[in-house]
Amino acid sequence: MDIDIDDILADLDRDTTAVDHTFTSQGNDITVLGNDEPNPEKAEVPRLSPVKDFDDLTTHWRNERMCPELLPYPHLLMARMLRRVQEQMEHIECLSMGFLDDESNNSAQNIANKLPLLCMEADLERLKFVLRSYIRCRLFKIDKQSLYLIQISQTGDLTVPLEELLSKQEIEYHQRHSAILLKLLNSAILRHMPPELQAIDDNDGSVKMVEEPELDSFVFIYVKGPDYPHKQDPMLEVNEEGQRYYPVTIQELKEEVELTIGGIYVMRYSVIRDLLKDRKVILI
Amino acid sequence: MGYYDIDDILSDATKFPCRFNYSIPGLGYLEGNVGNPIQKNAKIELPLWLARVLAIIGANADEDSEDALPFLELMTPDMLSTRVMNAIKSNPVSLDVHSINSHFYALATKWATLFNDALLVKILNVMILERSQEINNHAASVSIDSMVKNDPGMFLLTLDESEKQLYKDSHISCKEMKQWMIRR
Amino acid sequence: MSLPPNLQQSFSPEEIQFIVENEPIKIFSRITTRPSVRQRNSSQNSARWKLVTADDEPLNNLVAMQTTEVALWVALLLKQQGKCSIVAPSWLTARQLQKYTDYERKHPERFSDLPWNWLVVAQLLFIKAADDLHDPVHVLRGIVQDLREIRLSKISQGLKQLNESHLQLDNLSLLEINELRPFILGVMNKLKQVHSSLTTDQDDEDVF
Repeated sequence: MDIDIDDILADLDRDTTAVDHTFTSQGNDITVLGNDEPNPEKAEVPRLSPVKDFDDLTTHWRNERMCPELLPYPHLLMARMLRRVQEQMEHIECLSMGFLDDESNNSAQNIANKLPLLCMEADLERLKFVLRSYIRCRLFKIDKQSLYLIQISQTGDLTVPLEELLSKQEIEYHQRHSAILLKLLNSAILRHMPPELQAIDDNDGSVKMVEEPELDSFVFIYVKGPDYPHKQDPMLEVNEEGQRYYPVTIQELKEEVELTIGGIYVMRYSVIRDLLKDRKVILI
Repeated sequence: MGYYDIDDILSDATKFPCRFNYSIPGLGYLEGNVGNPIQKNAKIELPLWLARVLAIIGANADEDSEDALPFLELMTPDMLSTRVMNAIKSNPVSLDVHSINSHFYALATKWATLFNDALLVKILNVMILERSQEINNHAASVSIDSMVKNDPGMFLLTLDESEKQLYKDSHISCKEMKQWMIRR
Repeated sequence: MSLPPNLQQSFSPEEIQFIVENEPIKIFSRITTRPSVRQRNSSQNSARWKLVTADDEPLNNLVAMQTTEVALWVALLLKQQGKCSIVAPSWLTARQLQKYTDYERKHPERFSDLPWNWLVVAQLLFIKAADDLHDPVHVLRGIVQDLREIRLSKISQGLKQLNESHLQLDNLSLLEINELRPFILGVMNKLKQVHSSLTTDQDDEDVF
């Protein structure tokens, strides 16, 4: 199996989001070497493990499914996951081959050994399910926001660079898909129209032609709190009942709300967008 | 609500009664009087997308802008008349919203935007809440046995387009849940 | 379409079940997988459990007649193969559930603090591990059905409080939330739309 640099870096990665805005200038390839926590207490930094990774992937999947906008692609986490699928498939294949070989000599042992195999196959299928569903969800959003993605990458309105928002394959998919779409629109309709009516990205009218994600729409959130519970979180405040909460403001209503740790809320996405980015809330 | 939202386009095509503030040459065709001017104070119905523009833009740009009347004045349509508002206040659930207008909320919201009508918003708020309770009751009480055709009930025929969508979404969710609960 | 329409806004109950199946549960093993000292030294155990989504450590150290904790889906698989019995969670007894029901009845404004995955765990164990439960499954099913109905009617009451600002939903389980998601989002987004039609001019606020 060929090992490439991404795999090595992915293994070193501790901060699985990989999209740390302090490093944006360098893309995602260097972020792993450093951890910008000033003094990570060893006991609190979770060890990199398949279970922790799967947990993170599940969270990414759930967030992506419920989020009105496209969230940054976790490059390193996905690299590890895809490699793990590959390795596990090979491993399972090896084990099954072994059974065929000594089928005759030790059948009692054989049956006992089939249970782990059964379990490992189910386990792998579960991982593959989340991966597939996650990627499908992202492709759906990329299709839907095709013109919007083009527009914000042209105007420089991206909150994160396109290379961090999307995976390499997704960028290629996005570019080819939108090229085909534009070609279709053009040959089917637009070229038959007078030039002044050919625009499909005119946003000056009362309704913008390019549909944007509705950042003000409501989402369900679970307030998880900081990753390391014992560490100081400057955003947290304590109310009269001793509960720790994040104060947020709903701009339009000029209303303040306390998001208590452990609580479940329905809230406008725009209000909790930053808390989601900092992984202090998750979408449920 | 996007550029290609068909319900938004349809609701914008709804005709609203307006009254012209000026006599305008050549516009007679709007009331089927081709070639003649439209008279001041003429009442005709125009689609909202057109009426809205004419109701905002002042006709005499050179005059004192404070007194400059817009081309026309939007008049309260039947769907937002006192009679309908009173009917909503007395019993929103029994109201046949669909027959009043199939894009009732969308239009009422547009109207509230134009006139910054806080009272209307307040009425709509109560109306949405009360009617959606009833929608939820219907969505949740549907049998999953497709052989038993549920009587849709009169209420469902009174929903406007956005309420229908709410009913559909809730209904699918409740149905999936019921199927999950009884599976072996 | 890469994502079916009913999954674009919400999760399916099966997906919620999937999420809950990753949670740990106690089992009582009927097999031993912990290698003897001799085996450990010979390093000849090719068929060790190696998992990519769940902790495989307890599975490589199963000792018959002892309890350990594994992911729910593993427990259900072992159970199906007759290799373990599942230790029912302490809340899943007729007595406990009855207590929750009493609480729900006594407090019309509140929800009892059932675990966030109670409905999924209960349903799964009813179907796949009925013989491991402390009470007859039809009794438990009955109480769970009661609980569900009481809570549903409370939720309907609560839905009258929906507004354009926000909503707090403590002690509702993920499955219950998911069932109501399309409705709650539909109503709240609509209320928000209606309210944002007003310009937030200070002068206009005394109208209310």
